[in-house]
Amino acid sequence: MPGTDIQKRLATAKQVISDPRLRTLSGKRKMLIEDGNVYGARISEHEFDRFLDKAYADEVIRKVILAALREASLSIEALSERTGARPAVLFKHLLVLQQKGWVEVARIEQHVPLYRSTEAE
Amino acid sequence: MKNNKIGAVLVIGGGIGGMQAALDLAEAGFKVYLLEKAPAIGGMMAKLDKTFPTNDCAMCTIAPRLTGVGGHPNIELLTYSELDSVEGEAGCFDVTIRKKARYVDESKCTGCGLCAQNCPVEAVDEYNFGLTSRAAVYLSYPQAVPRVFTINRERCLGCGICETVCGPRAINYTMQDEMRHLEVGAIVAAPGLELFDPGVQGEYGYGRYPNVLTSLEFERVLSPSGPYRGMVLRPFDGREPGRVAFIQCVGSRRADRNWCSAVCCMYATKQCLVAMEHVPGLQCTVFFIDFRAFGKGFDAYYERAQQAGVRYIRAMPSSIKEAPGSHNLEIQYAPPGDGNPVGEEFDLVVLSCGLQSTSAARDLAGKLGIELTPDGFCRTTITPLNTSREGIYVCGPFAEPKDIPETVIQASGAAAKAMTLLADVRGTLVAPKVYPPEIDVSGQPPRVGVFVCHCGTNIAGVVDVAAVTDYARALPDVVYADRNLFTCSTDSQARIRAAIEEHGLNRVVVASCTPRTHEPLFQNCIREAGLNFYLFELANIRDQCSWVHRDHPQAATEKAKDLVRMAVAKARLIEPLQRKSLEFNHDALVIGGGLSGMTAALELADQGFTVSLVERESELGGNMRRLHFLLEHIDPQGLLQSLIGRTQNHPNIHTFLNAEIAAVEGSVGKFTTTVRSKKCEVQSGADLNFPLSTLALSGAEGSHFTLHHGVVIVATGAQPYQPTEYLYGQDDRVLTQMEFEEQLATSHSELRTLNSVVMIQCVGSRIPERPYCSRLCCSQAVKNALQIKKISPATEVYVLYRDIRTYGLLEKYYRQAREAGVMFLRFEDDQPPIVGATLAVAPGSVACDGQGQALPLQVTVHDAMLGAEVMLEADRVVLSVATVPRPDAGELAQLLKVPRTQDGFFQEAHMKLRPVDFASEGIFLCGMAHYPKKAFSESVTQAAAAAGRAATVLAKRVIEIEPTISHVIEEKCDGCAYCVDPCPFKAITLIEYQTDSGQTKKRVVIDETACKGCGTCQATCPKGAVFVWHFKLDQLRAMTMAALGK
Repeated sequence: MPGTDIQKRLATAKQVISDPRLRTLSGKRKMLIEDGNVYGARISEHEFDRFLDKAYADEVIRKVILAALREASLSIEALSERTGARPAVLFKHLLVLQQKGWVEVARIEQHVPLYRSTEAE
Repeated sequence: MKNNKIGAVLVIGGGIGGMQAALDLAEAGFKVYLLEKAPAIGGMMAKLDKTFPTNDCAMCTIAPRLTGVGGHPNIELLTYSELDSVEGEAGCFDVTIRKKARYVDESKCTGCGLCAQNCPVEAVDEYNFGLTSRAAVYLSYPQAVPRVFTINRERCLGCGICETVCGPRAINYTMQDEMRHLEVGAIVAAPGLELFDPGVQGEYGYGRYPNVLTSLEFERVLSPSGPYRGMVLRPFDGREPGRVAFIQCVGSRRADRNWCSAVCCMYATKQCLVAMEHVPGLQCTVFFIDFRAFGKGFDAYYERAQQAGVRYIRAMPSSIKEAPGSHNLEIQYAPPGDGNPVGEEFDLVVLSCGLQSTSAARDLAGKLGIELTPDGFCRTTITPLNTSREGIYVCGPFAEPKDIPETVIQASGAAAKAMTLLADVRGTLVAPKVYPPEIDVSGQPPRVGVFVCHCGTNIAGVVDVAAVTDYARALPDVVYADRNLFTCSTDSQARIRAAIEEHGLNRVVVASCTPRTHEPLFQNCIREAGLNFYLFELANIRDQCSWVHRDHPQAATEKAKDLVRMAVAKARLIEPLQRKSLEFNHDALVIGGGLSGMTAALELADQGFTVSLVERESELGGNMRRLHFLLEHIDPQGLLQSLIGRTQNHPNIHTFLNAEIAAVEGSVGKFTTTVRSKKCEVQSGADLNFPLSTLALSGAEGSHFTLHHGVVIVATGAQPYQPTEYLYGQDDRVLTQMEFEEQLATSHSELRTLNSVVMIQCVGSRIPERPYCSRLCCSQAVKNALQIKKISPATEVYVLYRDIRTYGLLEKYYRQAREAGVMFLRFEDDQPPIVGATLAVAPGSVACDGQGQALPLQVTVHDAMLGAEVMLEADRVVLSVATVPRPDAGELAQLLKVPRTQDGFFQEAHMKLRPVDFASEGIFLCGMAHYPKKAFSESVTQAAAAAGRAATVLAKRVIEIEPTISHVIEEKCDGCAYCVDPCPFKAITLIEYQTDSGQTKKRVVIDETACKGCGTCQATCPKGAVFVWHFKLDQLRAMTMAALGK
């Protein structure tokens, strides 16, 4: 249902913008661009925005992954179908999420790892 | 050289070589500065998953070294630092170090990791070769020493978040590089290695195809602390591969990189075996040129891999193509014997990249003022430990590609060289380790803390560690239980110390690997928290549980609980014990007067120790007397004569020729050895206390005398196999390489008449009866082949081989031989050549033609490359015979109570990290008694290493005695003496004594230095009058009852 899909996306967006790490970083924008960073060097607006955009984009896809994994244990292929992201990209994000302890491998079926959210338990 | 020598040494490089050199030097009484350019020590070995040929976990093996170095009072770590300049000369160098800004204060950082958790940057994780990411403020690896975070300035945004979250206020953005000046007497360079960058070799698609990895990347893939947490996955799609190909010699054995990297055949085999453990049903295929399993236990490992199903294909792939869609990889290669190229598809390809010296090491050479070879390795003098500059020594792959044990050997050797240089300033700059006052636990009820180790996936992959921890928490007197990824890592040890303080623990149980390697580390850890060393107990849930019950995880978990329950039951009863210090004998005994024995004796004697050198033959020199050429163009006989001269004239060396060991008693610091003289100059029955000059010198055959010494070095060598194959002994023209070398040295005119010489490799080696590789014969054949070509270029030389194993820098001589026209023909293992006389003749006679000319021998071989039979005529057939242990090695092993391998060579304490020590303290090993060695250089290196290791014992003023030994309760002992004979260490003596009432009674006494605490006496005593501290009957009973669930 498209309505639920939009709702899900909105929920994800809300989660992303309330991420404390990203909020703190966004709050540093003026300091980093205008006043200079902790080493006294100024970062160009372009450079900072590129960095922040990527950080937000990464966070979006990770939240999408987490949302999907809360519902079911999924393979990268299945996640790729749901999110439209390439397997190699998803794999990288899953590694980060594993590092942070939010995702783990539930089991391996026919050489394919199925991931689950650790919050699902 | 200046007179004002400095008793300190700078060791450059904190990998396994640098750490070994640092520890040896620090133990031998020198102040050590250990310089490491990375933020943490550990080097390459800390990146490895497991190690061949034992499949021991690299991190588990190295962890005690990391903490040993980190906590040593005589070692100062200078991490994240680089050498800036070196002035001065041997004995007194002025060194300037640049300490790079970490932006984290080492003295404040607790390693909690909050900074990294809050850092918004995701940077490339260099430790995992970019397979995953890490924050801009990072710890290189979980067990890093020192456990201090570092900011990657290039990737840091400078947002300041880490500073705000850092509790101890360790972040300091204003930090600058600092210069520091040091005075040191010697320098050991151990800058390590890097892998060849396969991106340069485009045909294998590295960098373009995501599923092509380097061997080091794959090593991280296999590691439980790696990017995929030990799961074998493809980088492209995260799927498990079903078919993995390994391509050998990537960046090795090429015209422009003319060396063999010496480790890749073995590490690829290890990676196959480990990957197959991780992924059941995985098919591994190795493409190779020659399989170079030349080390101790290597061929058996190769055999094991073949039996496990690893497919070895002797072919070098010409190219790799990626299949679109699946991203699988098609490898093109020409199978042996056929030659028609085929393509085969794989899911993942691992490139076994060669080793090379690092660019940083080449810069370092410039700053040190030492010479490099054209290949970029460190140039050494005749002694392979000395660089071109006096007072600067080298170890590890900077000098030549080599594996871990070879590096450790060379490190101990380099340390020995520095010790010798600085012998007269030993002990001038060091301080003993100071512990906090010991907590008095007497009268306290037991408060046990249990720490269960995941050991990466070594334990946690099989045993449910969380369940075991919960179980431990509920056991009687357990007040605290916790689990750790690696309990031996610095941070886990800090947690143990904190728990001791916080929960008032007075007994500690660690459930982990093995006390053999890790007990001292944990004992030290709890002592640092104020607990006595012996209030510790280890439950072995890895070696004796998870490793042996891999296929039964549930049962293994139950067994781990049993083992923990038993350890806790014992821990409740253990008591504090005190170590004793004893004076001891500072002399050494070296057994064997060959190259190794003389080198070891001289190294120790030059350090000021008195050495007795016992040689069974009537002259010194051993096998080296028959060595006439060396590949390195050094005259071995000239070297030998100068060595013999120095040995015989050295005031600190007493040489006993025609002498053999008859008995050895005692233990480290207190050995008494009886020497049987076959025709000796010492009076029989003499008890030799040096100086010797006071003794009458005469004697008759069969007389005995006694030596007292603190350490033993075994350097008894090995000998060539006496062949019966290939008409040897029946036809004079069939001879061994050693015999041929004799002719090469003496009979030039005769050799010039030879039309053809055929050499046959692996005679007596790599056969079911003697399954090991004799290591030296390939280079010996190459050497003699080059020599005959030099004397007689027209003579045709054929070498018939199974694998040419010219490892390391020997490879260039193999190439030289091929360029000189030596023909190398390979035969299959099951198709050895056949040597026949042209006509049937009686043994000992030679078939002649009509003119009385000897008819050449005929050698038939099935050339595996051509796939055809080749017939060769040979005027000489030269056999490269195996090197075999001395026939009396077993006898000596029994006298010294030291083990031997299945092959009959002496068995070192640990294959990787203690390659010159025996497990029994104070006994060391070098030369071919250990394993066959490359002529000269390897023996000299290991001999210096044995001397260096021995010096770590001899340099101490007193010797510490372990208190976990037998004790006699005098009032209970009635002198029945049941315990005396069964004691394997002869530590028990029956004595008579007078009681207060004047009665004469008997009882036994224990020699504390000889007792090893084995407990045999405790088991034999019918009165309960003898017990072993820490293994008392009530403690063992408690364990047994716990095992029975009572």
